[in-house]
Amino acid sequence: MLRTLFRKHVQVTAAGKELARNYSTPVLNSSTIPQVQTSDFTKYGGKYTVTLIPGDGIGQETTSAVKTVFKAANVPVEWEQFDVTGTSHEEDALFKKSVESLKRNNVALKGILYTPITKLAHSSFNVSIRRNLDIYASLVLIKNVKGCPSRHKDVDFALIRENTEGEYSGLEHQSYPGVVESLKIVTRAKTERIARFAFDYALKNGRKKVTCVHKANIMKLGDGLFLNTCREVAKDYESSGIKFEDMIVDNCSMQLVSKPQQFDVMVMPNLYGNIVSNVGAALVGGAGIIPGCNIGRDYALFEPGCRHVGKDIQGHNKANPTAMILSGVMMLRHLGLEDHAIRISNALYKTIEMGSARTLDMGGTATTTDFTLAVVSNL
Amino acid sequence: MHILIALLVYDDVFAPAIFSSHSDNNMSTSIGGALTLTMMCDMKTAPFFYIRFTVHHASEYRSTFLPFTVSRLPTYLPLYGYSGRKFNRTLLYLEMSPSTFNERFSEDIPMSFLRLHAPFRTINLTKLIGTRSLATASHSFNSKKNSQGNYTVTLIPGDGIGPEISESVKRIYHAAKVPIEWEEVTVVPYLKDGKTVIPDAALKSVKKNTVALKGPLATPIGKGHVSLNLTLRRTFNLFANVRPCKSIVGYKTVYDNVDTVLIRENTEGEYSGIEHMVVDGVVQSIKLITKIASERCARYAFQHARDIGRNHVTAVHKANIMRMSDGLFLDACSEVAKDFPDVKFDDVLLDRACLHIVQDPSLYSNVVMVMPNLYGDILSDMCAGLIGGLGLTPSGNIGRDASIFEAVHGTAPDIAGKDLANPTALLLSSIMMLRHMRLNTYADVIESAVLKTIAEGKKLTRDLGGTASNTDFTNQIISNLGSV
Repeated sequence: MLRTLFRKHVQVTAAGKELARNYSTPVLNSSTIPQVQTSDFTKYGGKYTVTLIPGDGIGQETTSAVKTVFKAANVPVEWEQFDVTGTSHEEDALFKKSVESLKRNNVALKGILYTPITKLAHSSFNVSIRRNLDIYASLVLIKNVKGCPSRHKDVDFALIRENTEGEYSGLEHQSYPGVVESLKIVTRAKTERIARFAFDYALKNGRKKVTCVHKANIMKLGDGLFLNTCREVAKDYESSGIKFEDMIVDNCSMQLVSKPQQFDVMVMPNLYGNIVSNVGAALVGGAGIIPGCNIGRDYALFEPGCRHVGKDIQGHNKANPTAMILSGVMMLRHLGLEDHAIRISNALYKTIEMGSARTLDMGGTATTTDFTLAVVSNL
Repeated sequence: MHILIALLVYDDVFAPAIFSSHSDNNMSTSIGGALTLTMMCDMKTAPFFYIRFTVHHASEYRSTFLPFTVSRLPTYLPLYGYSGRKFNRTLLYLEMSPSTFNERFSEDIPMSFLRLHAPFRTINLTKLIGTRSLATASHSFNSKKNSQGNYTVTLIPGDGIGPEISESVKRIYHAAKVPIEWEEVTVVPYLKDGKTVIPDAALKSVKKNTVALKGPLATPIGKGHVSLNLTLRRTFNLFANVRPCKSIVGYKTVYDNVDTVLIRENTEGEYSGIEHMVVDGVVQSIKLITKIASERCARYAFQHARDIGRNHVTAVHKANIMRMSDGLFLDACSEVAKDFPDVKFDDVLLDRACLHIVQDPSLYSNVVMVMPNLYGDILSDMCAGLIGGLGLTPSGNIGRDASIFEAVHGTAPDIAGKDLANPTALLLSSIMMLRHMRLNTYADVIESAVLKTIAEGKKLTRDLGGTASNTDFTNQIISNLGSV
């Protein structure tokens, strides 16, 4: 595990040292979580304190569903809530407070913050949290949920996406009026840690294959570096029986909509992750049921896998809180509260399978509140 | 050949302004075949000249040309650039009343230009010229028939299964009596001064005919060779890639209501090829977005939307993250949108678009999507996946100097020469080509024959789940030609 690519160099860079300490510690499957990890979290009076940022759009509705369910299940979690919004500038101070809270608590549950498109507005809060706290790995689980209508069956893959560089570097400039250059940054250090994260994830969750998604035929250096680094890392995991494949992103998107069953674990740079997670979500029934988390070396941020604000259905009590509840469940596993996690996820899956309280996106008419109450009653 | 035609409407007067950015000093330009203009121009300062036009120059020219009336317009009218001034500071245009315009030109100038300015109203000249880019209308087909009454079209059969499927297309076209003569060329590339170039014969042929049909090509593996598709794009300035995907009856996928049209900027973006390794282990790739390229692509998207009867254009972007680059693309689109008041314009984030198309493709069945290079690459293949793969999707590359229609699937070397290939993609691309050449009736006949053959399901190639050979499939299409 410690044999990193950096060992070849005589002079170990700062990034190299960090790498040697292996970034990819966090695991979601509790059976493999080292017990010592729980002590990292803020715990007062037997309760964990978790930062809660409901976010814009449907965030308030879905996080209040989580709060209701957690309360009903007596989960020992106390929320430190920050109603940050991306719609105005004045929230900057509150945003900073929420980040400080996350730094204290190490764990957060978060909805999606709105990002304005105009050029003068603040840059994305979502990206800024991930980049500033180096929460580098995004994990999105795409899986059919029984009872949720979808076009494809037997889809089950995990998508791991680099969260801190690539096209989201935020480095852009106008070299001449009407000519803009936008930099995509790919580094070996960050690629290696995301690749290791992906392989470790595969190893610990009994997955068999890791697929690297790239566009190295066109971006020969940038994506080429990503691909080659993944290949190098793959060699370390050969003996564990994890297969490695690579696929060009356009072909990948085509395969996804025709034969999504072939994928197991996928690893990719930032932008492709954005595309693939949404394509994947659409395969199994929409953004409303896809949980996700963002893991860094020090912090873990749990948020729905498809990062949609959902402004269009905001305040209608129509949103499907499944994604947020499942993200919360992932958080419970991360905190080592396995029993609670199982209890809540069972109740949730049962609710969806029974179909008595389907929200709009699952072909029903139930409100968010109806759905939440149904989950609570199934606990 | 590159022409910019602007129709200006002053109360009751039409004024088509015509200029061109051809590198030759002296060029002839025909508008729809009825009117030929010869211009003297110095185009060394292109491509930024169009921004500089002012009303002042226009009024000078209005007086210059006032003596012309339509009755005096010969079929061949020499127009000379404003002497003593560089062409890039002048504006040439003709005036005539709407009634005479209709009488003389409504048949020859594409309807889209007329619709653009109806109802008649005054348009701010500076604004109009300012928002017009080099690309305007350059894609419209204006080659002439040869002495036998046929159009010549360059055919690049390609590699692998390419020759077989090209043969199918030729047979079907022969049977349907399409007025096209094929000029076959190969485009095996070679290195000239360190650059990948295609043979002169092919270059000349495509430039002359301005239309080409192309089978799949294999890029030779070896150092220094840029992908052939990229070479063609650069050689002929193919700035927009059109990718329609429509569910095909008879080939079942989990989606049965797909009807998307996607237009992809083809020349820059993430494919700029500008990359470097800053230090070991750190790479910068540059995504290049320019106003000019974005604008000409957007403009084509709007025109295409009109041509195919969809009145809605959606720009797909990621401007919430890439504020400046995708922001510029989006700005260019919304600026062009102002010239097309009858076409609805909106924008959507890339993630949302992906989610919605895969969840319910019918949401996009009345829209033309336009987007930068990489997104277009990914989404167009994804849409192809929805209807059953690249074997069933046509593609057209619209360019300044020529337009190339192609099958985007691979060369399939494993089945090459075995008469097993499926020619549908190339056929559908050729149908797009026919529509581009305004040979719509032929396009309709062949298209319905192809779709009927697949829907019948009697003679299908292997990839469609049948057992027939390419020849059987082709014969079946030919026999269906008569019955539609």
